[in-house]
Parts: sequence; structure tokens; C-alpha cells
Amino acid sequence: MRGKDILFYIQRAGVEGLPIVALIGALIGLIIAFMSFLQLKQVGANIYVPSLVSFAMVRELGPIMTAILVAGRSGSAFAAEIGTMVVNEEVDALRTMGFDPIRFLAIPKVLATVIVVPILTIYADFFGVLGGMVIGVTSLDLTIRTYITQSIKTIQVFDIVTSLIKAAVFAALISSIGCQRGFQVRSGAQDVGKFTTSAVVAAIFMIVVADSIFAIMFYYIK
Amino acid sequence: MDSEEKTPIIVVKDLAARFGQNVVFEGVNFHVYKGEVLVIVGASGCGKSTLLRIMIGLQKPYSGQVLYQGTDITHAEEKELNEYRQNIGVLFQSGALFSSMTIKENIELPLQEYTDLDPAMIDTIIKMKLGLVNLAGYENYHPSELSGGMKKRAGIARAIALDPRVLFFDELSAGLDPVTAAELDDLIIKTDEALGTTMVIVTHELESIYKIAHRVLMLDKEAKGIIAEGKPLELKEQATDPRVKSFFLRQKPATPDEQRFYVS
Repeated sequence: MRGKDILFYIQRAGVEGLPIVALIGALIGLIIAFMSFLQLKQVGANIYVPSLVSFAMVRELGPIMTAILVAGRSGSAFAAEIGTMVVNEEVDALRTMGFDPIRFLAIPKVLATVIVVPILTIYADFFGVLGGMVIGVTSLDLTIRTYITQSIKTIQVFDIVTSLIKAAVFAALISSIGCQRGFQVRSGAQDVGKFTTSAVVAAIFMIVVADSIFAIMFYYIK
Repeated sequence: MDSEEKTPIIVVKDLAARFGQNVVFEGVNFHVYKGEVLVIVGASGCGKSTLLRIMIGLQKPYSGQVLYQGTDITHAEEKELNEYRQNIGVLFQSGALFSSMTIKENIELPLQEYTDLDPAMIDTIIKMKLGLVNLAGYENYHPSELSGGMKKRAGIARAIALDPRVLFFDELSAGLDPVTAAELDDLIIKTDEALGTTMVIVTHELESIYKIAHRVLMLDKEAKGIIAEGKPLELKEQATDPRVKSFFLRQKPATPDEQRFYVS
């Protein structure tokens, strides 16, 4: 039963989120490449554009952008789903049948998100670099090969690992806040709306707070 | 049911409930006897639902005890409470079926969790329970595809999946048409006679009460407790309390002057 639930939410939060994550990732990569090109061309350092794009995507933008998208797509959905179940007395029914609502409803969602968000993040990083490459090849006269070697040279294993750790922590924050807000619903449609909003706002806030802590932490670890 | 063979299965002792500073009820004492159909009535806001929620372990009382065969479920550990929950079935006001699952999966859930039966046997039980509530053939429907009355009946099928010893019904016939409500009444009588299940029912429907209730408890908002207890027809004919009388005769309460006269 619970295994089936995890697969369902991997599908919902992960697979169905791939297109939008890819699209936003590519566009952000494009924007970063263009902005850095405008600055770097003044000193003739176009060759650093791929470095900047890949570094920014993998270290910061990939994880945080994916997390914000997942908060909007899935954090809200979790809160609304559980909230509606509370209103329909489904959560009470679970309790009277001897099921722990946290184990039954929240854990599969949290596990699925923690599995899926790091994968989505890698996906976003990849498309970010790809988006940057479009600018690199069309406006900077870089070859695809140079762009890729330049990107790979910049990114270290440490960056990717930290990116994944961040993604997993963001995922845990988003899903647990979403579920917790859902359980806070007491009665009525308005409550569901209120706590769904609160789930997204609180999740995004916590993502940024956690990201700041990570920035400092990783600086000292390295 | 003869009074000699009455053995209490649930004992409610000196129960009090509050919402913050507001006393919902206090000093509530009564027994639920094995095999009986006990109906709890009272005007809206008198705490019927709160009482029911306390009896099924969803809410903690302010003080007092609810004993199920000697175990106090209001102070029970989660483990004891879960044992109790396997002995009870609850039908919620809206049916509370899990909307993401089909009817079959809804009934399957407790069976898979609490029995070691093989899938074929579980299938048979589901078919049997659905047949009992006249929903045979609806296994693969989702709750959203069923009407209100069908949802309630499916809810009953789920509640009786594990053959519980006590069934609780919240607002049994609320929102149902008279025909469906009457069918539900028959179902209750049938289940009670066939399985000897004890039932605690919250309802407003006078006709159902006369038909199904062995005993009635009446709660009152002002009195913050039980104001009447007895067989429904006796209460209707012999009650002297104006509040009880007006409920069972379905009349407007007496004018304030008269009421003051009665109460004092």
C-alpha cells in the first residue's frame, strides 16, 4: 500500500514536473549566460561565460529554482490534499481504523519528494548549462566543444554533491511543511485555501533560510 | 431485550467536555449494553458529536472516563487504543470514504491491515459486505461517482468489514431522502439482528428513532448533560420535561413563560 503511494507521488511530483523544470532551467541558463556576456565582453573574458553559468546553476540556481517550483507544484498539492481529507473526515476515519495519519499520508509524500527533487535538480542543472550554451554558441562564437569542456572544468564533484544534499533538504522541508499545513486545516474550503497558501509561502521562506545556512556551512567545510 | 441479560459493553463515567472555557457537557453517565441500539439525540450544539468523538477515541474529554470492557480508552496508550479501534466501526457524517481509492480498496484497507486472509478471501468478504448494503457490483467505483446515500452505505460496508462489536454512526440519516433513510434503518435492524452488533447512533430523525432505537439518550445544551433516557415510545408518551416532550412530539418549545413554570 505505502510502496504504491510512494510511486504515485514520484510520478506526480517528479515525472510530471520534468517539463516545467527543464523549461525554466534552460531559460535561467540563457539569462545568466546573456547577463554575464554583457559584463564580461567589456574585459574580453567571454571564455568565462560557460564557467559562470555552470557554477551558478549547479551551486545555487538549480537547487533553489527546482525547490521553488516543487514548493509551488507539490507542496501546495500536499497541503490541499490532506486539508481536504481533514474536512471530509477522512483523516478521522483513518484514525478510527487504527492507521497513523502521519505514517499513512505524510511519510510517502516526504519520501517521494526527497527521492525526486535531487533528480529534478540535476535535470535543471543540465538544462541550465544547455540554455547557456545556446547563447555561447550563437553570440559568443564559442564552439560547443569549448563550451562543454569549459563547463566541466569549472564544476567539481564537491559542487554536485552539495547541490544534491541541498536539493534533498529542500525536498524534506517542502513536503513536511506541506503535509503539516494540511493537517492544520480544521473546517471548510477557506481553511484549505489558507493553509495551502501558507504551505507555499513557508516552504519558500524556509528554502531561502536553509540555503543561506548552506552557503556559510559549505564555505567553511571547503 | 430482557433487562436481566443486559451486560454493559461501554461505560461512560462522569464525562465532561469543554471547548476552551465553554462547558459542552459535564457529569454525563450512562452505559451501552451489549447488542442494543442506543440513539443519542438533542438539539444542535448540545455536544452529541463531541460525545461520539470522545467515545471513539478521537478527542480527549476534559475529565471522566469511557470504559470499554474495563479499559479506559480516554487515558489509553496508543497501542491499547488501536486494539479498541479494531473492535469498533465508525460511520462518519459524510461517509468519509477515501476519495482517492475505489470502494473495493476502501473496504480492503482494514482487511489487509488487520487480517492474514488471502486476496481471494478478502475479495469474497468485500463482495459479501457490499451485498449486505445493497451495493453489489460497485467495487470499482470511486466515491465521487456515488450518490450521498450510496456513500453512506459504502461507509457502513467499510465500518463492518472487520465485524466490529460496536458500531458508531454520526448523523445517520442527515442529508438523505426519506426512502434511502428508511433503507438505512432496515439495514441497521438487519445488522443488529444478524450479528448482534452493539450500535451507538446520533440522529435527528424521529421516524428512524421510533423504528430502530432500543433506548434513547437526550442531551441538552442548557442543562449541559443528559435530560432523558429511556425507550423512545415511553419518552414520547410519558415525558414530563417540556424539552423532551417538544422533541418527541416535534413541536415548538413552550413559550418562555410556561417554560419557566415547568423548569422551576
